[in-house]
Parts: sequence; C-alpha cells; structure tokens
Amino acid sequence: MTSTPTVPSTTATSLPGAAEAARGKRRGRSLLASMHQRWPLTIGLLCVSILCLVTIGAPLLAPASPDIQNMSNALKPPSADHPFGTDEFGRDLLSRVLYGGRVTLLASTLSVLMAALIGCGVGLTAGYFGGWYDALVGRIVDILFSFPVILLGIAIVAIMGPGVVSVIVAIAIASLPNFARVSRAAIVPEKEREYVLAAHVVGASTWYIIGRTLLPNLIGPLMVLISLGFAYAVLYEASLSFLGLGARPPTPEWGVMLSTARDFIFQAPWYAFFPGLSIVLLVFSLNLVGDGLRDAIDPYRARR
Amino acid sequence: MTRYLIIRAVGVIPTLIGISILVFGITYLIPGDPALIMAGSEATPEVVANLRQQWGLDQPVYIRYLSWLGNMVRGNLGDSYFSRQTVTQLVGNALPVTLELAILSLLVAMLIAIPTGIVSAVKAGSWFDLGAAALAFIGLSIPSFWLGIMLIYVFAVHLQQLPAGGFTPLSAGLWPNLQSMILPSIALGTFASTQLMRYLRASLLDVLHADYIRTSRAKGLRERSVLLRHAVRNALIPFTTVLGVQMGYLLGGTVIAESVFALPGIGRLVLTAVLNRDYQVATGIIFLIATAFVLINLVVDMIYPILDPRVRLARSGG
Repeated sequence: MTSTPTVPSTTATSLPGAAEAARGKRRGRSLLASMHQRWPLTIGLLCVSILCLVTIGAPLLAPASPDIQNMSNALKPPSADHPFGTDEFGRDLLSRVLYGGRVTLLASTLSVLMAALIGCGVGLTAGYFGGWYDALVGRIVDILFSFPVILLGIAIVAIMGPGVVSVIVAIAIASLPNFARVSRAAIVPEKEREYVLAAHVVGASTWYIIGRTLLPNLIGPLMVLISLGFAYAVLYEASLSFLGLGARPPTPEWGVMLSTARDFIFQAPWYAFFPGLSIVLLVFSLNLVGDGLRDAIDPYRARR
Repeated sequence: MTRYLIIRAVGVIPTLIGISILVFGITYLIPGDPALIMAGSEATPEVVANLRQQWGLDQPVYIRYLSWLGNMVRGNLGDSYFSRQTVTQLVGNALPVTLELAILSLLVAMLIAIPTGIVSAVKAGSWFDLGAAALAFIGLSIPSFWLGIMLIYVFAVHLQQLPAGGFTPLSAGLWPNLQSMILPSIALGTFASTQLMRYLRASLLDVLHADYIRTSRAKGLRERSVLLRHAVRNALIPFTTVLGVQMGYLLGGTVIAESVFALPGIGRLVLTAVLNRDYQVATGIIFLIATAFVLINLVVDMIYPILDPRVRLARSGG
C-alpha cells in the first residue's frame, strides 16, 4: 500500500509479441479493445465528478449536521433515518461520510499540485541543463525514493507535528520524485531535436524554450501522472489520518473515522464499511481516469 | 562481473550518506530543546545544562552529525527519552515481528500473483485474464487498513476463527503465532500482489513470444514443460527486481498493518515514538528502515546478474 505511482514503460513489452497476441485472439481482443478504449476514462471521470460534487454539496445533501451528537442514538445500525447508521456519539454517519471527503480531496489535490509544480520544475531544469545540477537532483530523487511514503509522513510529522498540513507536505515530497524523474526523462531526448535548435537559432531564451517548446511535450504523460498520483495521494492521506498523523477527531475524515471504527468493529461493523467504501470508490475512479488517459495518449498500449 | 558488483555497491554510498544527512536534519529541525524535553518542565537550568553537555548537544552541528553517524554505523541507534531502554534494544524486540509480517505478506503476495500472473499471460485476452485484471485494478484501490478491518469483521467477529489483533510469539507455538499473522499478512500482501501480478503477466507475455519458445515447441516439448521450464523461469528474472522493491514498500506498509492489528513491531514503535515525541527512537528507526530499503534494492540488483547470465556476460565484457 505504500508504493509510489510510476508510469510503466512501454518498452517492457515488445511490439511483435503484442501484435501476435492480438492476432491470436482477434475476436476476444476486439471485444475487449472496444470496451477498453473509452469506457474507463468516461466512467472514471463521471465518478470523480460525482464524488467531488457530492463532497462540495455536502451541506445541501447531508440529512443532518455531521457534528450533532445524540448519545441515546449511539452506534445504531443503518435505518431509514440514518442510512449509514450512527457513530459512537450518535452522529449521522451518512452526513459524516459526505463531509468526510472534503479534507481528503483538498489535501490530495494540494499535495499533487505541489508535487507536480516543483517536481516538473526540478526535472525539466535538471534535464535541460545537465551537469552537476542534474547529478545532484538525481541523487536527491534517489534518496527520496528510499523513504517509504508512510515513513516520510512520520518524519514530517516529527518536525511539524500532526495535522493536515504535515500530511500535505509529506505526500507532496513523496510524490515529487516521480514528477521529477518523468519530466527529466522526457526532456533529455527532446532537447536535441531540430525544433529546439531552431528556437535557439531564432534567439529564444532558455526559459522560453523550456516553458513554451519543451513543456507542451510533457502534458500527456503529466496528466497521467497527476491522475494516478492523485489516486495514491488519496490512499496516503487516508492512511496517514488513520494512523493519527493527519486530521484529528472530531473532524469528519474517512481515515479518522476508520481509525475509530476499528475499535467498534465488534459492536458496529457498519461504522467501518461506508468510509472505507468511499475511499475505494474515489481511488478506483481516479485509477480509471489515469489508466484511460494513458491509453488515450499512447494508442499502442490501448491496443494490447 | 566483480567490477559491476563493486561499482553498484559503491554507488549506494552517496545515497546512504544523503539519507543520514536527511535523518540527522530531521533530529535537528525538530522544534524544542531535547535537553529540556528529557529534563522535564521542573528541571533547574543547571540540570538542563548538564544534560546538554552529557548528550553532546553543546557541540557544533558537524561534530554532532559525525558522532551521531558513528553511533548509527556501530549499531547504536540512541536512547529512548522515556523508556529506560536503548533504541537498539527496542528495535531488537520489535524487529522480528515486523520481519515476520513483511516476509509472510510477500509470501501471500507471491501466492496470489504467480499463479494468476501465469494463467493470465498464457490465456491472454480470456475471461480469466479480464477478470484477474479487473480484480487487480480493484485491489489497487483498496487501502490496506480498510481491508484489514473488513478481514477482522469477517474472520474474527463473524466467523470467530482468527484473533482480531495482538501478537502471539513463536515461542507459544507455530500455529498460534501464524494465527495472529494470517490476517495482517493478507491485508498487506493483497496490494503488493496486484502489482506483482501485472508485472509477471507482462514479462511472461514478452517471453512467450521469444524465438526460443517457438524453438522448444517446434522440437516437440510438451506445452507444460515449455511453459514451466523455459518461459516462466525466464519471466521470473525481471520479476525478482520488482519483488525487492515490493519488500521495501512492505517494510513501510507494516506501520499500517501493525497499527490495525495491534502488533508490537517497529512500525508501531516508530509511530508511537513520533506521537509521544520520543525522537531518538523515531529517527533511529527511520534511518534504519530507509537504509534497509536501499540495501534490499542493492542485494536484488546484485542477485540479478547471477540469475541472468546475459547481464553477467554483457557487464563483464563491458
């Protein structure tokens, strides 16, 4: 659960092999292929949008306030009044699950954006300038890769104390090496191409070349990396909160809710079910988007 | 060959030094004076000054770093501020639990991944392949702590077959010990299995279309022996690299599994240390796990040329 997202290289599988496989199972293949092409992306985007809307619209949709306690109604199983049941303080779990996505979505969005911005900036400049700067960046990326994300989270919390901000910083730092590595790998072959030379010849500045001629080549892989990184960010955010390093009770947050629900598993098994299902749904949809995008920009992969 | 191994081993040193600087940086960045934390709020300034001198906190940064590094290298990970044990003792007690958990999880992951990966590749495009891919995709989206809680519900609450948490040491018998480890290993191993499965399927698909497979079929070998003796054996070579990486990630994942199942491993040790602000313990373990992660990958890289003669020859030739 602590692995970091990587964009699998297409070189891992050879073209002839895939072509033969496709020929051998043509009928089954074409069925799979047509199912494979646009559906995942569409369904994924739809689910992510719905989940985002539901979370943002929580005040309108929630049947009750997520904070109103009613001790006489504690740990009640799902019913017409409380479709997801109630928690140990008698709070409505459906409302808490609806509100619970807010911290997760906000934290993972911010951390992925931070990682993408800094990671790409560092990766692009390292690939472009090369030399000792490139070597240094490579080394730092190696070092960051040797910290499992959860451990990095623990280290950041040691410095900054538990809280949502620590979690955002930890996930950003953990996701950063991927963005740096991918953007660097993409720019190194690209900077030797004629159009870059042409830009040099007409007198474009270094920053113009990096930002306006080289960066656009990265948009495709970057979108894939962001959506897959987003999926991992949600998992990590929930995990770190579950461990007590992120959001704190009484904040409605899926990881925090699961951490409490673990203690009530004998009395109230439904308590743990719905927050976890929400995480799975969100991560699953984000993975669908990432995979769908990857197939869309790399048609060869989609055909396999 | 030997040269390759030496170059690879030496290449790890800067990374390890970087890790040590980073971890020492964490101890340095942690707010609050360690001497004050140790002495407690009612201590007199003399006591605090004494502690500071005793722990070398009055020395310049680079001397503190070097003495810290010297201690780490000699296996002296520091002393707990709170419990009267050294970090090495605490880790020594907790490490077997974590290692057992990581190894069993890897075993679970391989038990799921290897058969599924092989069948998926052999029957690529079939319903089995599609189903396995879909399951792997879902498995990739399930947080291990939730899977753990759901497993507790099914096997401990509902079926009452396995304990809901806690650790039974091996000294109490193999079966009781395994009973306490089954659910955590499944919770942790499932996620790893999805990635191992996808990887094995891809590398086996590659191998299955190689010329030597066609040759072995042409010379009349039975399909079973083509598959097991020739294809799978070669597909498992790149697989070992991924296995090493997964082992490293599992070491990190044990923090979560140990927390869900209340296992007294180093994951829980480092977590409680950070939450209790017992920073010597926390940084010692962080350094230990990050170093282990690098060394595991080094070992895997070194095993690789032994498994694959082509790499061995190419590298000794160059």
